[in-house]
Amino acid sequence: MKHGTHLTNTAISILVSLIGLAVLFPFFWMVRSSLMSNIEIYKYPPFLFPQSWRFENYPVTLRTFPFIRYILNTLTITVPSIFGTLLTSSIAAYAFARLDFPLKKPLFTLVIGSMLMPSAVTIIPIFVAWSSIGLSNSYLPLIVPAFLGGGAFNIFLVRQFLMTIPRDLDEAATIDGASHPRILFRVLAPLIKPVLISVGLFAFIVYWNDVMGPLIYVSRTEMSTISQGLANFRSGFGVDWKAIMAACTVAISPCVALYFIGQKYFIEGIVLSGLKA
Amino acid sequence: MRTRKTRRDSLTAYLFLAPALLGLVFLTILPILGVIAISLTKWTGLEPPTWIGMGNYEQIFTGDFYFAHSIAATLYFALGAVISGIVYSFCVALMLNQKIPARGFWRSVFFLPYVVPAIGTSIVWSWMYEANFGVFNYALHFLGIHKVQWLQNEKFAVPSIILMTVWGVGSLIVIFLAGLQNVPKSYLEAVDIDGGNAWHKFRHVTFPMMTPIIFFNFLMSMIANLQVFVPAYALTQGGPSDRTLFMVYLIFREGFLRNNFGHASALSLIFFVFIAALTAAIFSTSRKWIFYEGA
Amino acid sequence: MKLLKYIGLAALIVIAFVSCGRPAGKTEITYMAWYNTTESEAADIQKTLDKFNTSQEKIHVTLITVSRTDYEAKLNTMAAGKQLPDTAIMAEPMTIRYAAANLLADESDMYKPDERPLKSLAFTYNGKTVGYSCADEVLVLYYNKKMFDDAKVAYPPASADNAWTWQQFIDAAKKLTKDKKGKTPNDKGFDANNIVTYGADFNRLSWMWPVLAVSNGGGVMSPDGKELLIGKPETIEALQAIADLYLKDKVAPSVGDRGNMPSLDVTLLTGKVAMATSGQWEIGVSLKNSLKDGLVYGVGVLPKMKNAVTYNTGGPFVSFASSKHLAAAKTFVKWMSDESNGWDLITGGIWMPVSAKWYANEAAMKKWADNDIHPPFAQYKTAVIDYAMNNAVQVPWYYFPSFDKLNDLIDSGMASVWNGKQTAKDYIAGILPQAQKLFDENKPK
Repeated sequence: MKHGTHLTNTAISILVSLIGLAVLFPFFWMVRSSLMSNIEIYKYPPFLFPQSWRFENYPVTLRTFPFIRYILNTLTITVPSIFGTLLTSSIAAYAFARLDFPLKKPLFTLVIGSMLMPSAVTIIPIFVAWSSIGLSNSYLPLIVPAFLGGGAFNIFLVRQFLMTIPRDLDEAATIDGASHPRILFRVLAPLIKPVLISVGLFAFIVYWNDVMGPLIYVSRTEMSTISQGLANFRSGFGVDWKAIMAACTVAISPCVALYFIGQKYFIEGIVLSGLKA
Repeated sequence: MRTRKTRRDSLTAYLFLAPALLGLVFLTILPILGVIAISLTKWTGLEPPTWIGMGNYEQIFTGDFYFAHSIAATLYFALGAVISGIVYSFCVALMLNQKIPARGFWRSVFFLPYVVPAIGTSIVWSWMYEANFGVFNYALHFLGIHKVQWLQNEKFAVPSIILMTVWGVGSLIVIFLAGLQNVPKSYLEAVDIDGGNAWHKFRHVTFPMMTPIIFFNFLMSMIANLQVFVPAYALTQGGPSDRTLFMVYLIFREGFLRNNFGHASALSLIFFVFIAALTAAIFSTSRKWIFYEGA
Repeated sequence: MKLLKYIGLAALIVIAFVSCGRPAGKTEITYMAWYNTTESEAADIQKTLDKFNTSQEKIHVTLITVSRTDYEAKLNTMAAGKQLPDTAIMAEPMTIRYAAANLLADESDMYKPDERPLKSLAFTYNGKTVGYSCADEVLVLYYNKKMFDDAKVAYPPASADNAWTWQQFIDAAKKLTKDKKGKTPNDKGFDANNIVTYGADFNRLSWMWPVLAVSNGGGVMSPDGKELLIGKPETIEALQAIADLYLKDKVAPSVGDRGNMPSLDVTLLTGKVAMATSGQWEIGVSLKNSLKDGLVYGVGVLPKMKNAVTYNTGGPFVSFASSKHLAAAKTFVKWMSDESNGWDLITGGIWMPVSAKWYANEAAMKKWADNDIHPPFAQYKTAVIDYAMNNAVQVPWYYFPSFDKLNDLIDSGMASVWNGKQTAKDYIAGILPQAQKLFDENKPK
């Protein structure tokens, strides 16, 4: 019996490792291709590793792929958006979790219901609205929504987390004469830090990786985001795969780095979203 | 005293909710009304709109076949991606739930693709799918099979995009894994006592306990995958022969490339109704197979 | 006191900014252009604009660049937001749609008769000319000379008078096609699944293939934009003939295979394809890159079915009617279309000149076409220049408002024709009612 379990576990370990390696393969292939010469990359059968590690592909690629500027542009959108998301979703969540007020239930249902509305449906009227006030060629349409609740899903997540915090704490604070903002930002914020970090990280991923938004609202080349820059680079460079893969590696690495730093919160956030819903 | 506090609370609540409610009005309710209104016009975006009533809907349902092509492509993709995504992530989660070495490490590995920009994923995979020097065709060659034009072939374009999408479903694995860890040990031990084997445990305890999570994942990934856009935009432009003319890409194409805001809005609205109906249908079947503890 | 200081400082900064951005007294206009590959291309465009700016006393133009991939979407969002630039290079299929919406300025009066660009390059709507192509481009046939020599096949004719018939084209292609064992489709035991060299590739891009239909007396629509020709038997015959290159004659790659091939120069150099149709621009965009690797190529005219015909095209420079400085905008557009400002592109084999004087006599032609990048002049003159002058018809986007929409429709199931699942006849019959409706809705009134 015990022996059997041991055997099965070994088999499972091997299987998991194999699938895991398969999942890592595209990353490996990307980096490997980015370090090859044109001759190597078009060798058939393909080499597993570069024969001559051409790190100079990177500086060469970066000369035509203004990575730093794309990163700065993307941060210009992402940083305020994360701030807006955190601020407005947590105050809304606080209202729903801690305060009593007329129409609470229907409002909550409405806000949560809007979660099911596919964002693709409203692209055109929202674009038309922005363009009618002359702001359709700017970053504002990408940032402002973050300050309008930051997405129903985030409100929901923070609210669920707040519900698990005992009310004793804020009641004690109320008796001490603390205002609601003070309770939220001074007393509760440290306690719900994990969910706030998760919401922030996911907001980062969403805004950082957005394709449709910049495609519609960002027109000038010098305002391009990293995703846009990458897409343009790819279509322009057609078949120069080593350069394209180098650009991909560069564009993907900030996300990967952030993931490894904030891994714990990513996973907690995902678990939270999946299990609390 | 009491009422004053309540009133103050209500005031604070509305103040706190103001941004979210503004969002509700300006990003959901008004835009929906806007979509309806625009869908009743012929509007290029270049000239003032003209009212044409149901003209766009007539065109969509009786005229061009993009709509039919698009619904077929979108459903095929979404169903394929959701079902294979759920099966794959559930299986991996089950395996990760065993006592195997470096479990945390592998969990991170499986989750990693989730954070990669969709454009990056598309481009890297398109290189692997490349017909002459791509690694997939090399693998086929190794097996003695003829090379395949993965993304350019009518038959393979959508499955290729599905495979790429399934690769990125790390979040489902994490959710499933967390769910599996919440299955009470006592229930599983009870099966042991009754002399049941691993299959019995799965069939009578693990699976039923997991059905709410499966349902949640199913619903969420369905809604997400029906809105697929990036692969069509970055890799196939809807081709070959409309096989990847996904709904959101079609809306984008009609609206922003072909100066057809009215038509695109009508498509958006139909798409909305379609997703809503599908969601409702999924909910209505849910009672039949979801196990609610204590219910 | 302190406050005053700050205000003063702020005012100074504002003034500095304003005066930097705007050279005093000049009319400010904008020009929007795309770049294909990298932003270094954008830098080249900027250099041209710098030249303009230093040459002008009263006008200053600022560049807006957008990548080619997103160009249409961007222009449309700017149009919807009423933020169009003053001038732009226009995506061909959208030009007449913009003209129909009265967004483009009339350029009919811009040129004196003797300086006007070629008539074939005019985008016209309702008798108004809204723009001239930035360059003249035609479709031609490129081939790898060495492969023809090895197979002992005569080179494709370099003049329209001797253009190959479709059958001659196929015969040559068959001799050039080789499978793994070196057999041709004429040999017994030819293995069509393992073709190493394809004899011919007739470009199947949705706007390019109909050129053969035009040669057969059909096409997408009549040159006046009044009649849809896609359903004509001549069009269907041409479409089927192109599909059959792969399906029946076994001389062309499948459409998917073609899509995966590298740029034209590499395709020819590596012997993947022996001859292929494409645009004149390939000389400068692609073919010149492989000359150093030993590519020896020639250029000929397209094969014909009935008449020797090619398409001409080229994105136009336009000024927008919404411009507040229309006169300045037109001055700039006119300046841009002068050959001296695109001279490197012209001698570099990417563009052909737009005005008649560069085609007037051999001496003028030699100035731009007789160099190391272009094929031997004698050949280039008859196969490209004379061909462009005498045998070219306009791609319908010169006069039809929504050629892209029509192309969407024609393309929506075209792979089934290329892959042989449907005959051209059945396929066209299936889309014809829709095509007719779309055509009637969009045709110039």
